[in-house]
Amino acid sequence: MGISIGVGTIIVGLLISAVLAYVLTKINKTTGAWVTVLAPFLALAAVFLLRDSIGTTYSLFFLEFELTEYGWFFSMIMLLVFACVSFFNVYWMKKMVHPAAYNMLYLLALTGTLGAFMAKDFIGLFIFWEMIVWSSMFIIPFGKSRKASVVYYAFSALGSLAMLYGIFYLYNAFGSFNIQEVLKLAATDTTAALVAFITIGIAGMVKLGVFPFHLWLPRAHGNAPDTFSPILSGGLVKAGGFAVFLIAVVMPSYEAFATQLQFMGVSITSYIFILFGAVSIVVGTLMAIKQDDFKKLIAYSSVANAGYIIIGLAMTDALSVGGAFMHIFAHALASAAAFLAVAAVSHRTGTTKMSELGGLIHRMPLTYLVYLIAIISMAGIPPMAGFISKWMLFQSMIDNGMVFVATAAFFGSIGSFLYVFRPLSAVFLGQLSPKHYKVKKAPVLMMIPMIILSGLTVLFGIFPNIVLRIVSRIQTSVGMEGLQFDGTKIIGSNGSLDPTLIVVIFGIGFMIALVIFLLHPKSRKVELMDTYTASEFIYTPELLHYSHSFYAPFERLYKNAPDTSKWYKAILKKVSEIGGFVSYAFFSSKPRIVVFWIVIAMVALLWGGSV
Amino acid sequence: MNPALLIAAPLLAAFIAVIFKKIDKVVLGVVAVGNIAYSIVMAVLFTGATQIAIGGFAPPFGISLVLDSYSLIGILLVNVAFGLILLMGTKLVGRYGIVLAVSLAALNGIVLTGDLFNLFVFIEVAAISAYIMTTMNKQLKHTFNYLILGTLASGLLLFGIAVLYNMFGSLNIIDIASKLAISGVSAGAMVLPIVFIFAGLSVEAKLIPFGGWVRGVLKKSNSLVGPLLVTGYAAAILLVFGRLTSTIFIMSDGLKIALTVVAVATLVLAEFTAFSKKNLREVLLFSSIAQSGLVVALFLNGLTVAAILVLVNNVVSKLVLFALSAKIADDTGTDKISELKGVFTKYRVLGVGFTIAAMSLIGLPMFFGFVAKAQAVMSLFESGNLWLPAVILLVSVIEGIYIIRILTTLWNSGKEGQVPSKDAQKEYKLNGFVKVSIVALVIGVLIVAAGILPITNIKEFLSSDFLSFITRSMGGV
Amino acid sequence: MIQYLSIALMLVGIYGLLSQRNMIKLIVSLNIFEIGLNIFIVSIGFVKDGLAPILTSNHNSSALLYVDPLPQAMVLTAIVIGVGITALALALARKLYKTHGTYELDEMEGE
Repeated sequence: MGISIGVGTIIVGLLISAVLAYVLTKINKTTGAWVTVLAPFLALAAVFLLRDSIGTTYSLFFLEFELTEYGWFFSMIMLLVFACVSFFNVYWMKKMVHPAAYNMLYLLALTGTLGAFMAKDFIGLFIFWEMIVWSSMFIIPFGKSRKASVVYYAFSALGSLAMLYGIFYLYNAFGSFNIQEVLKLAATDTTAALVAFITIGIAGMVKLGVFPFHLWLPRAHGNAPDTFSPILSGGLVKAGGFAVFLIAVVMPSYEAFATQLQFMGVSITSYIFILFGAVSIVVGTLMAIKQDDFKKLIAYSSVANAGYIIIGLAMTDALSVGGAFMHIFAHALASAAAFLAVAAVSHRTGTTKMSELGGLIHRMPLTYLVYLIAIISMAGIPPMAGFISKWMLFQSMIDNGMVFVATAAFFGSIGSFLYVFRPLSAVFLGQLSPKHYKVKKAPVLMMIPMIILSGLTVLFGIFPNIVLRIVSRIQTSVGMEGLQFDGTKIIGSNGSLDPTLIVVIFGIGFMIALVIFLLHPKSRKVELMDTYTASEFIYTPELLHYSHSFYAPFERLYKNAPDTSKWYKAILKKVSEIGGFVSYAFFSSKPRIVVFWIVIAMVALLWGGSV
Repeated sequence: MNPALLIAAPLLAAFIAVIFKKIDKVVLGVVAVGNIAYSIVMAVLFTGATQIAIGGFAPPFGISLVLDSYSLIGILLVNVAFGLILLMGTKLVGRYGIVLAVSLAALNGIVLTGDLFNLFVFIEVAAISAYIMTTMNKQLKHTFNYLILGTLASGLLLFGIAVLYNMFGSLNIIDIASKLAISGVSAGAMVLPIVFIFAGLSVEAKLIPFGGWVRGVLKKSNSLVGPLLVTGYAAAILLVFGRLTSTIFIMSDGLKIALTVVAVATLVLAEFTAFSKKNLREVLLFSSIAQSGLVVALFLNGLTVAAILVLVNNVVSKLVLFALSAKIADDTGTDKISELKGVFTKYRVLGVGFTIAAMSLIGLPMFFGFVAKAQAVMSLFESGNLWLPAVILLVSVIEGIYIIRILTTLWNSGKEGQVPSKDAQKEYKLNGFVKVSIVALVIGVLIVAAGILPITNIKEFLSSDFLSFITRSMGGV
Repeated sequence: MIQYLSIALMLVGIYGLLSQRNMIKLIVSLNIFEIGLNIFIVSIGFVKDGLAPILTSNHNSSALLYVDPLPQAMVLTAIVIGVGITALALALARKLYKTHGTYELDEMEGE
């Protein structure tokens, strides 16, 4: 057997390149960073070429891999994001204390995701899943916060240990670790299916950042190194979608819970998951509107988008699952692009606080365009990919009659206009801050990945069927009905959508607007501090910056809403208090106190034993 | 192969060291290395479980040592841990060479002995040497506390043993076990001796609420005493637990539940306490209390293999963690986590060893800790217990939080809210860290190797005869 | 009967450990506990009308009724260990007295 490229080769190759990146970075920082650019691209090409060999199993030492339709799809998204983001690493090497470790962990995180998507058995899935966790857990503290990493680990551990419980429960019940086999068996046993659904579902929800496990996202995404936030938001979070897909569709949940109470076309268990998704749409949207930090804002928007994904997957009909897949893809592209735009801004200005920025359209026009496309896609406006997925999801929600959920989703969509417009106006539009007069436009190497991501967002907004045909094949491969197409049209349950036609109409509208804009007289540029003050001298012009307290009236409406992070803090505080009490009460330096406890405990044991 | 040499050699070394005070370190070193080598040879040449009579009295009349795969694991663990601790803390030995030699003899005795009274004697000898060793910490008040509690505990243990002797007329563990099987003593009659023995052992095994001495003694312990108490002593005592639970602890359901409650409460409460602590050594000592609770809980449920794996994982990783923490504390004057920001930036090898041990402790896959945790959870599931795995996994979230808090802080300098930078780096100075780093790294490599190899075929590993034979070979000759 | 007395003695010792704060008194309590324990163990081996388990020219038959010698051997060992521990405890107490100037545990500074 000659050397043929298989999943095993790719994984080993990535592991080797991780070590190589470490060694080379020690010698020369830039060379090492280039390894992190090359490796994902090679892997991307390799996985792309494996398209024809879907269904094959590969083994690597003791690990078994199986290339499934959905595994391939998820891997491609992940590799695309990693490959694009890695260009930025080159510029960040100087800023890091542990550049070699960063490069190595970056590639290990990639290896972890690929391994998890292609693992044939649960043990492999879990090993790689944890590899994602610990490799990113070490990268996050390279950013602004150490605490963020602890929060990230706490939630991740909750998820992955829940999954471990499920894995061993299923192994005990069915005697196998094989994912496909076990899930098919679990579908015939309602209790086992429920345990699997909840435990693996929690793992997925944590990774996706669905309410009430969403708190790590703003902290981790907001504080991670600027080059790693796009990976987290565009890439690693989507692994949660993979886990939810496994239990919702691969299992499949609609068969396993067929005997359960049915509610709005889905089982009650699925409906609870859907409700969590709806809540996270609302919470994510409202919180995003509040944020002053650019990165935290996008992080909260990821929470909202995670809500759409989990709703789509849990509804388990052809259109909703298709929509969820499209949304995973569209959001990966858009949020990676948005975070990269932030990174570019941060690279040039050194801040991500919106109240300190403004007017950057004059200095970084291309970055502005990239960000604009990304947020249009996130808000679900045609002609971007994000619109297609939202359309499909809405179709399905309405079709199932889920009024509350649909209301939440519509609320989220409207709300997303608010929060995506805020950074647009605060960072790029408006007046340039005097501090940033000398800001240069983003370096060419940074532009390449941003343009790729934006281009794809537009491309798949116009021709979504390229992706949807793959999605359709995924659906048939797991035994559900596939999406229906008619030429460029997507057939929905109560109507069909022709994105290409929409784009043409949109284009015409855009041309008309452009003509009006060009014919109109030019506006006069004003300086940021050029403020009319009625003969008062202004000491703090920043407070008068119009992006300061941008949505204050709206925020006031829900400023008393409960803060979820307080719940967790309260739990941990209780844990800490109990710990302090134990330490004080039982671990005394006075012999008599401990003797007292020994006597009490022995009396209790003697009594308990003789019962 | 006579395992008695493992006890006799250190004792002889202690006597030699008394006479020739100048060469005590050399003698101690030779004996430590010799014991490791001898126990490895015994493990290699091991053919089957045997009882070795001492002094020509055939068991059950004379004192006997039990050599089976269970005690082999024990002596390997104890001797290797002892040797490594000695290697890392050679400088601290000072005038304590004799005591250390005696403690090595006693630990080997605890693991090997098949006689209950002999067990009491060895525990007392080990405890006395521990009291003397802890005076190194210059915390005499805590040492006094330890002494009072330790003595009371061995009194309780002796009472339990005396009651057993009264019931069966024998002190030999295996003999008592066989008599128990024949005579059919009711579980109710066994409550009294079991509770007293359990209480006596629990003080040394640091279960809550018995082991109140441990915080004061270990909080400020140096890199010799601390690791020794946390690893060697803990391992020996916990292995005694295992031997007794699988042989003579015939428990009524009520008693089993009561003892399991103590063990699980220890696990949960100690993890909570570790979470609330801010100093490295305090966190680690409460973490080892929690692990002791877990090991005892597994033993009580008859899951010997899982318990041993968890125990080995705890011993190996705590050895590194505690030794390095104490080393850092000795040299920098503090072990407050928040004051040690970025200490590993300079001492990277040290940091890598520490990190691997820490990740194994919390049971991440690819490290040995995962194998142990998987085995524990799996065998609990097999025994039909669905709630204990959930408890174990939930507290390991808490465990993970405080361990990761330590790791992220120790690797990264700089204030919260700022990107770590070289300028914000505090200068740390550790003396003679090379030796410690190398030991930590070697153990780290072993942890990773032992973490990857079993999952090469986790399915077979979980149900393998190779490991379950440890259970079978216990107690039965 | 003697067994109950010995257990009472042990309880007195434990009561002392619970109530005393003076190091010397703690050590004394510990010794009372140990003495109670030792008496208990010796009492296990007691056989009514039994002879001392020593072969002499008068008592040289195994058919005779002897007291159980094993508990006595155990107690001997326990006494030796107890003495050792008491000595160590007293040394510690003395040392603590030197640094703190008191035998009262509660009056010592430091945690």
